[in-house]
Amino acid sequence: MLPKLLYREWILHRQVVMLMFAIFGAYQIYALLNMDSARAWIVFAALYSAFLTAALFIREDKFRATGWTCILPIKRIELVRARFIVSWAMVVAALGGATLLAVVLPGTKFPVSEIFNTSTLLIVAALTTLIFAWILPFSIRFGMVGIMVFLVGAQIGGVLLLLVGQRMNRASGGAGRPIRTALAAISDTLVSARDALSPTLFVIVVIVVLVATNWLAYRFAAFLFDRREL
Amino acid sequence: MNAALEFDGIAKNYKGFTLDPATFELPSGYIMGLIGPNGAGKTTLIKLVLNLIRGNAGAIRVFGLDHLEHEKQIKVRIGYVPDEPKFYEDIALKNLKRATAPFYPRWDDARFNSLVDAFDLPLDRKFKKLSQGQKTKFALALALSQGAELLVLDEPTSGLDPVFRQELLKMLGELLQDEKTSVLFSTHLTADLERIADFITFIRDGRIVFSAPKDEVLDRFMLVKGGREVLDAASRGLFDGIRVHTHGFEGLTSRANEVRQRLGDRVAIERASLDDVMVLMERKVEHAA
Repeated sequence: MLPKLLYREWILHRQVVMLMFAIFGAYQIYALLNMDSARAWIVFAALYSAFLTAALFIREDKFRATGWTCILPIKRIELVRARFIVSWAMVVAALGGATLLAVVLPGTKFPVSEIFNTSTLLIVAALTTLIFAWILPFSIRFGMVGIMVFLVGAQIGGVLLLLVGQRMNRASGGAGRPIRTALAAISDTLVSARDALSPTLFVIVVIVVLVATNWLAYRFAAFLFDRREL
Repeated sequence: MNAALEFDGIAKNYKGFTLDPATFELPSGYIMGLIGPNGAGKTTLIKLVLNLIRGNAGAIRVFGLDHLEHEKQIKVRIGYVPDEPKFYEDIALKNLKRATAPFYPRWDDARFNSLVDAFDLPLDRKFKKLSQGQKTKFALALALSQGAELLVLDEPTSGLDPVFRQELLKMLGELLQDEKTSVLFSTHLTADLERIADFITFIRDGRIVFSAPKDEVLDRFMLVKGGREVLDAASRGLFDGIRVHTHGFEGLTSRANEVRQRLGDRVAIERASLDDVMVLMERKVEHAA
C-alpha cells in the first residue's frame, strides 16, 4: 500500500513540489554566495525545507479533500506513515540539491567538507525531527488550522518563556539567566554524554533517540488523525 | 437473502444532533433509497458506513464483515459519490484518476474511459474548472469504474440536469442486472427513487421511521383529499400527517379502510407518492410541535 500512497502524493503534489524546489534553489544560490558559515547555512536550509514540506499537506485541507483520501481502501495510519516518509524524503532531496549547488556553484564561500561532518548532519537531523515532531501531527490532524495554532502557540509559548525567565532573573536579583542556564545545561549534558561514550556510540545513541522521536510523533499523528471526523 | 449492508443499532451523537440507534439492512443486489428532509441524518448514516465518522454505539456490517475491523477489505468493494465531490482543485481529472485507480484491484480502465466519453468530461481540465454537474459526473465515473459491489450515493442527482438524471437512473438499473451490485441512494428527489428503488428507508430527526420494500410502502400509504369541514379531532387521528390549506386538506394515512368507512365519499383517496409520504410525515411533526 505504501508505494501506491507515495505515488498518489507525488501525483497530487508534484507541481507544488517543483515550485517549492525552484524557490528553495533560488534562495540557496543567494545564501551560498553570501553566508560565511557552512553550519549556519545547512541548518537554515534544513529549517526552510522542513517547513515547506509541512506546508504541502495543508493543501488537502485547503481543498477539503480529506474525505476523498479517507474513503480509499487504506487505513489512516498508513496515510500518516506515507506523509512522514514523504516529509523526510523532501528534506533529504532539498538538502541533497542544496549541497549539489554548493559543489557546482562558482563563488561558494565554504568547502563542502564543512557540511559533511557528523555533528552538522546530526544537528540537521535533530532540528528536522523536532520540527516534524511538532508540526506534522497538527498539520495532518487539523490542516491549516493546525499550522496556525502551532505558530501562534509557539509564539505565545516563547513569550511566556521569556516572561518566566525575566521573572526568575529578577527574583534571583539578576544573578542568573534561567533560560540560558537551562540551554547550557542541555548542551553540557550532551557534551558530557559525548565525552563519556565513544564517538561512534554517541552517534548511534543520538540516531536512536531521533528515530524514537520520529516514531512517537508518527504514532501521535496517527492517533490524532484516527479520531478526525470528516 | 444475504445483506450487502446491515445497520445494527448504530448511533451517533453530535452537539445538537442525535442519530438514534438505527437498525435496517440492504439485501444484496437491490437499490435502497434513503429519504428524509435535510438534516434528518442521511449523510451521517452514509459517513458511518465509510468510517468517515465513528459511531457511539452499535455496529455496521458490509458484506457480513464488521466495517471497522475489515475497513480495507470493505472499502475496496464500495464506490462512493458524495453530495458535493471534493478533490484537489488544481489537479487535472486524468491525474485525479491516476491517483485513485491503483487502490482498486478491480479498476476497469475501459469502463472509466467509456463513462468519460458518455459524460463528456474533459480529462485535461483541472477539477476547479468543472461545473457542479461535471464534478458529480466525474465522481460517478470514478465510483462506477472501481468494480464496486456496493454503491453509496449521497444526493448524487441534486446537481444534475433532468436529462442526465434520467440517464443515471437508467445506468444504475443496468448496473444491477448482474445481481451483484447493491446501491444505497440518498436523495430528497423521491421521484427518482420511485423509478428504480427496491427498498425505501425513511429517516426523520435522526430516527428511522420505516425501512421496507418500496411496493409495500406505496401500498401501505394512501393520500386522502377533502374539504376542511370533514376534519375533526377524531378524523385527524386517522392520519399520519396532514397538510391543511385554504380550500381543503391532504392527509396521509396507513388506515385507508377506516378512512373510507368514516369519511365515505366526502373525501377522495388515491395512491400516495414517496414525495407525499415524506412531506406529509414531516407535517405531522410540525403539528405535534
